[in-house]
Amino acid sequence: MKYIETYDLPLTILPIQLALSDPDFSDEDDLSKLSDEKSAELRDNLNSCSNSSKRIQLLENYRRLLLIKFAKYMNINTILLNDNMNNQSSSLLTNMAMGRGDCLPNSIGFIDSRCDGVTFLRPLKCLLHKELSLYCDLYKLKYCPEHVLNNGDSILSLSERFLSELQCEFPATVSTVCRTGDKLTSSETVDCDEMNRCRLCDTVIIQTDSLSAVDAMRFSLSLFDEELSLDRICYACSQL
Amino acid sequence: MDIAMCMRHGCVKRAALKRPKTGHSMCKECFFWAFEEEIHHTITRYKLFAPGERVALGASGGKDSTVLIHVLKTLNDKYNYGIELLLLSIDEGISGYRDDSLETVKRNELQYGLPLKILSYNDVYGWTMDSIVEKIGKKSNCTFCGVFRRQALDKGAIELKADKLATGHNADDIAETILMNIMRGDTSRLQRCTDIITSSEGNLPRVKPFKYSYQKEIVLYAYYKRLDYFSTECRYAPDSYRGHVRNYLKDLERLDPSTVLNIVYSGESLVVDSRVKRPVQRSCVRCGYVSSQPVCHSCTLLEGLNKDLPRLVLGKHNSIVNKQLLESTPFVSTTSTSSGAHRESQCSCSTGQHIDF
Repeated sequence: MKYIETYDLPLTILPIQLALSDPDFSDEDDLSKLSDEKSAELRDNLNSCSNSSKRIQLLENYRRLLLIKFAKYMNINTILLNDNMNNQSSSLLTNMAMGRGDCLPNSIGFIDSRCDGVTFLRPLKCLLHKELSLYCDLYKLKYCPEHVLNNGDSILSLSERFLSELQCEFPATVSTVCRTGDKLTSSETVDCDEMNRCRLCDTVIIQTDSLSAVDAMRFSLSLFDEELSLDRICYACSQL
Repeated sequence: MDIAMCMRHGCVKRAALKRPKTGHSMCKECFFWAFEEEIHHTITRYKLFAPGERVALGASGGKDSTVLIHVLKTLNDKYNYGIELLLLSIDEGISGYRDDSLETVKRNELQYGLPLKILSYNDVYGWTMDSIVEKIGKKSNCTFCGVFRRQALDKGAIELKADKLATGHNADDIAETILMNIMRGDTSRLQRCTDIITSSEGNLPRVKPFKYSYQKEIVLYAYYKRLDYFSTECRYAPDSYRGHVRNYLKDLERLDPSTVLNIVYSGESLVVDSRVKRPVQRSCVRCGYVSSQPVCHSCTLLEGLNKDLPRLVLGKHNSIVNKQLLESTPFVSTTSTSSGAHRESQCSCSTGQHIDF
């Protein structure tokens, strides 16, 4: 925090459990009370995830929700994110492995416009981690290593390791993966009301009665009288 | 200690396995039933076959194709698809691997009473994979094998007068292909590789009934049914690019088995921007096969081999190399390409064969 404070910009720190409610950001007492109340719920939600990959994804969803809530309160319509080429390429593979192919253009693209009124931008997405480190060294910018939720046993850490090992043998790997992501577009239609969006990640819920892997999974579960329910939640978030 | 019971409603048997795909504990018989019903569902939902069709099954002697033969024969008899099944095998000329697996296919021919046709690379191209690897080394040999096998399968299926070609590509294979196309930036293949029926103008339609079946379940099915299959990895495969992706996918599956189907679903959901340049489909001026370049990849690779410059044409299809090949190609007249018509052209490979399509 002391590094951020040197820039003399307004700074707000919010506990992530506030994403689980509709807080009044103007009332500090209310925020503090909600934060205590919701921490148990947050813990339960995270514990109900069957592996660390799902926990990381769930936390990422909550972080995004909280940023949107606060941005709307502050009348902010653009949020800049610090994603670089290395973590975008790992995110691409991770999102593929978690069934998030339909929201790839938003989740790893330059613009994430899933939410009305708040747009996320990724101005650093064309820069490698190495380039950013060099920039910081040249301009003597102080920074602390990113807080990594990854404990080494997740799809994200596996994807990072895979890409960095492959990058040694094929140096264009990371940039090629990112470029492939840039060539993708969303299948969303322009008019899309709230009912058709996932309540966790705002992705448009694609009609899954159509022929797809979801249809195949639905059939496999129906053989055992089980259902795959996708009511106001996308396929990927339904697995969290 | 609690004994796991089969989770199928009404079954009172002890579970023999836990399904990788859904996590259900099942006895052997219920697993066979579920596995076969899912493939039947895929076949009927996607309308893969029509009554009266002749369907060539790509048979390598491995677990996927052996299970494919067994399941399709079973379902064809049980549900009266009304299709005629034929076996088609390609001999790439890999000693210690393909020659052994072909013996398995010959046994399959007798076990299932299905006619078998074997086509070899040597007959079609004048090269075996062993001789190719001797020339180019152990890198990029899967490129040659894949391109040559694709054309050889089409040629064999046409000779068998088949209406469709069915292959044993499973969910793991498709997930690997999706990841590979992302890693290589091949967006045109990325869009096509999840299609369960792939066909292009003048080419035989190919179907993948195992698109949503897990590789592990295919192995379990073959094991419990005691099917006769050959189980050894191609000795040239570990050094391939696909090998890296395969290991990554195996690690993903160890963390969470649902990742395989998740990747297939993600691949189906991807939409490539319409502004991205796409290759235009045409016919090879040498052999008439479908191609995005004037000279197809197979003819280009063969040209490189025969002129002792195999590495010149590897990697991204080189427009300069293609232009040079085109300029050295003699004029070829082609007949109509409407279905049923026959096209003949002279290929530049050293066999001097006419390749009929």
